[in-house]
Amino acid sequence: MKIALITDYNILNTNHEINSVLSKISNLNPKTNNLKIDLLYISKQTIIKPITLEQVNEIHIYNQIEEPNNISNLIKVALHYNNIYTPDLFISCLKENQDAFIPQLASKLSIESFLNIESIKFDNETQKFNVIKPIYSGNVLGHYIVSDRAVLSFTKEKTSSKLIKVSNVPIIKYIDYTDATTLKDDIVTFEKVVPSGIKDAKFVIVCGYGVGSANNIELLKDYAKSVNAVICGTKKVIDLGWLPMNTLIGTTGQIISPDICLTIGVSGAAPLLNGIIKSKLIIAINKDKDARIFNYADYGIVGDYKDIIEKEHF
Amino acid sequence: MKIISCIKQVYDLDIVLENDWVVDETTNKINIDYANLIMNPYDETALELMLRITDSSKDIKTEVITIGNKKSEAILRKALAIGVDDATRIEIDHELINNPFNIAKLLHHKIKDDKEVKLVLCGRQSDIFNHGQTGQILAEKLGWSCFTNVFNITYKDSYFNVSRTTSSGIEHIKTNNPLVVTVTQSPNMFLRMATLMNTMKAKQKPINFISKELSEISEDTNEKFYNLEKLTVEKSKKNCIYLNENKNKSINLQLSDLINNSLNKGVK
Ligand SMILES: Cc1cc2nc3c(=O)[nH]c(=O)nc-3n(C[C@H](O)[C@H](O)[C@H](O)COP(=O)(O)OP(=O)(O)OC[C@H]3O[C@@H](n4cnc5c(N)ncnc54)[C@H](O)[C@@H]3O)c2cc1C
Repeated sequence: MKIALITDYNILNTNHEINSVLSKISNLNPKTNNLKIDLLYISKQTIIKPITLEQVNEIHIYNQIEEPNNISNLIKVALHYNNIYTPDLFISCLKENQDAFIPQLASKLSIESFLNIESIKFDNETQKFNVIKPIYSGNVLGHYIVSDRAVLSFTKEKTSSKLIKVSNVPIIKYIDYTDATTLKDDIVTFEKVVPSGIKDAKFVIVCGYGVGSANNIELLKDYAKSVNAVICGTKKVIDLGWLPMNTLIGTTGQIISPDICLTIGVSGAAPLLNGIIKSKLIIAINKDKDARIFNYADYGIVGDYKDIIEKEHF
Repeated sequence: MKIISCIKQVYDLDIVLENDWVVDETTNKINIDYANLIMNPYDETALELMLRITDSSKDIKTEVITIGNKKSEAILRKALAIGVDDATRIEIDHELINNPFNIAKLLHHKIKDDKEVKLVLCGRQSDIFNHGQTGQILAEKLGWSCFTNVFNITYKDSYFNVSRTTSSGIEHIKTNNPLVVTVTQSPNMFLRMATLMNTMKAKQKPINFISKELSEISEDTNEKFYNLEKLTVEKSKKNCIYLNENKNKSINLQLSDLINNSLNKGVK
């Protein structure tokens, strides 16, 4: 069995993203199950020195790609590799365009594809992979049996389990591949968005529709400043334009795990809950005592938040 | 020129009660049939984006397509009532639409020969299976370019201007057509309302229909795909401790103490 991990992250740095994926497949017991893991590295860089990378057998370096992020180049490289090695699984670990790369590669190969799975298992008896991913907007987990081969990715989270260190030095192969495309006539301008700082914040305040207005959010920003918290919102709040798009929390936004997560006027729909559930402490303020959020909070306060947040802010 | 929006009727999962998320052992399903049927929220955003393009370019034709049973015509009528020109329903056995490949295949079959179509919009994701891949696969099958996570799109001088979020920021792309976009949340892009008169009129409008037989999906190809073996509900419910107003300590003091203590201790 063979797994191909495809990445454009710089593998020379101790890389969180790649390690996080490797840790999520370490439960497949590559050694005992005779799974070979190849890393496809797509970059402009020419030559790298030997590195240690746990569990990886071979690193295939596609190093003459002018535009490594270009989706059609990523697919071409994957197909090139596929023609030689035909891996059972492609696992994608890309900076951008992951959500386009995965289904499009799978469609080209007529195999299954899964975005943002939670975990993967290998069934020794059937010799098949089992994929677990959220369904029903995250209210339920779906257990899929991969019928043949698949392309997939894991959810990106901040926390990751530890790798077993065995100081493995994979073989490096350079692939002479020059059939790359340069971008067509699209004109792309990039607007750098001020990072929201949400991922690294120790204290996050999630505002929901229940805060009532954009103006109230401004007042809550003052409060957030006074307690050193970062402010973000639910989908309803983003839809209304009360907070910028890069502050959305949830399965379609960011998944966070701060020391404290304070929710204000948030009902606790599953896609939102899945974004905050890994917080060390959840405090919920909601005026409805039956709100779903209270089932998942460590501390709850039932009432109008304006009576609860320190008065000077309102 | 023509623009197509692909829309889906879904259950409003927000109103499903906590305790109803249980798997029925015999059917291996979850019974949420009491929930309202609505248009998938991301498809609503996509539909509104489409209508805003035609607000300024009247000569562009618009169409909505849905895959589903007779009931799902409700969302098509809604679209007709707010100004969409044509509506098409593709019928298929419910079991066969559990994966994005089959959906994309059906849409591809419908769209591929229509040379007028220059843009197809899909919501980025819908309820139940949450694969989030239909638009991308459709683009691959059509051989068109594809942009995901689009929150705005406009049309000018035969180019589309697409704005989309990426993991590092926002991209504005001036692009040729044809293309497929998948639409994410977008500020102030709520679907417009229909007037009562237009709602009445929409009831009389014809809806194009593509039957099962014509939709070109055979059962055996489906069997190989997406074997959902079982569902589980794994909840990490907590025992919430409620803070109450009391004489000795006001509620806001209790809250700030809780916050300060937790931050100092590095939590539990
Ligand atoms: C496919 C899909 C993906 C989605 N992904 C996400 C996602 O990633 N993130 C996300 O957030 N949502 C997501 N959603 C939307 C989600 O289902 C909910 O609609 C949304 O999270 C609800 O937002 P809310 O809690 O702010 O609003 P509501 O559900 O309207 O809740 C408002 C709450 O505020 C309370 N309240 C009102 N006034 C006050 C007051 N004065 N003081 C205290 N409390 C008050 C009310 O009791 C209520 O509980 C997704 C939906 C779909 C279909």
